[in-house]
Amino acid sequence: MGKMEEGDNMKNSMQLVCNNRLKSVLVQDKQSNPVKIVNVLKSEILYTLKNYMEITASDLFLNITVDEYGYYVLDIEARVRRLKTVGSFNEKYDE
Amino acid sequence: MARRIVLTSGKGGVGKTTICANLGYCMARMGLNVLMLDLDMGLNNLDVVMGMENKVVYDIIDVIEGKCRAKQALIQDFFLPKLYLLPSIHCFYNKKIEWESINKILEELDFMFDYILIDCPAGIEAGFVRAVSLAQEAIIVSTPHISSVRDSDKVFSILNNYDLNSKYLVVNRARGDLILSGDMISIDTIVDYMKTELLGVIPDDDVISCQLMAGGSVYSESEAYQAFEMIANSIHFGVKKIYDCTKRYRGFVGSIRRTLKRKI
Repeated sequence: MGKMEEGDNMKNSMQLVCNNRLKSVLVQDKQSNPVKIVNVLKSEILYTLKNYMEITASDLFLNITVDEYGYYVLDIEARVRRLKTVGSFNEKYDE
Repeated sequence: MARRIVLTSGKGGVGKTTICANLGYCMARMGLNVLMLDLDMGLNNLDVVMGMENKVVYDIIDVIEGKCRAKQALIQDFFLPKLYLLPSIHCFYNKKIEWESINKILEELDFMFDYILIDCPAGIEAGFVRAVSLAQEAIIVSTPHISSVRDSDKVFSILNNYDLNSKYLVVNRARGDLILSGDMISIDTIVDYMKTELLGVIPDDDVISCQLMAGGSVYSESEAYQAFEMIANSIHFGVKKIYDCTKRYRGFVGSIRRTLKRKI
């Protein structure tokens, strides 16, 4: 009985190791991609935000990380000095 | 107009050509007109897998260079008259082949077929770009091994840059006994980590090895053939049914089968 339990434990730990390795490999690959995309994304967000507020590149913080489930998490923080007044830009929005 | 589906993977040796050939057989048996296009230039084997290597007279390069018409280069399957192969060049070809020139050939042949299955070379370089640029849909083939899943995940990301209607995952060479004993990554884990749609699972079946030796389709009563048939039905009719490779190894008889397989 003891040997059987030992075998089961070994198999469970094998599966766990295998899953963890796969997870870490995929997460690492995902984490290496955002470095370049952050700069491109930041400039595009900045371009859009500038239509509505006074903001510079140094006021915008953008970070992309990967969570334990393999999803990308986007952290965007912007410190804005002043918003433009309604009427000074085209009001177009989707419901 | 034919639906153009590329079979790609990133990693080599995962079974793109084998799946391509067998999907073609299943679809042709369903009464569909199928063209198999081998774009693995120089390292092509689709003709060998299909047992048609002795029938090749012209290849795709002859068509591009105007030595023959596209229809002349097609090879019809001996048993399935609705199945055709457009072979690739066997030797090294030093001129650049643009995907547009292959697209012209496919536009000529489009009206004759329901499906065009494109066998993509391994890697993510020129050959991959050429094959994917021609397709409307993609099937990414992976095996349940970390290296293969990793490459397939990268290919999924790269395919986002192309105008594809859909991208599916097929897991090949799945061993139900090893999955149940925890020695192989489960299909659910792969799908969960890759966050993609699963089209099908192909078991690691000995009949596939036999097919590769003899050439032609896998034995129609085999487990592998059932799995290929499910994928073909899923593509054509939208009936989503995934082959359960662990079914044979569950229960009392299954556990004996599992033990015997491991012992042998």
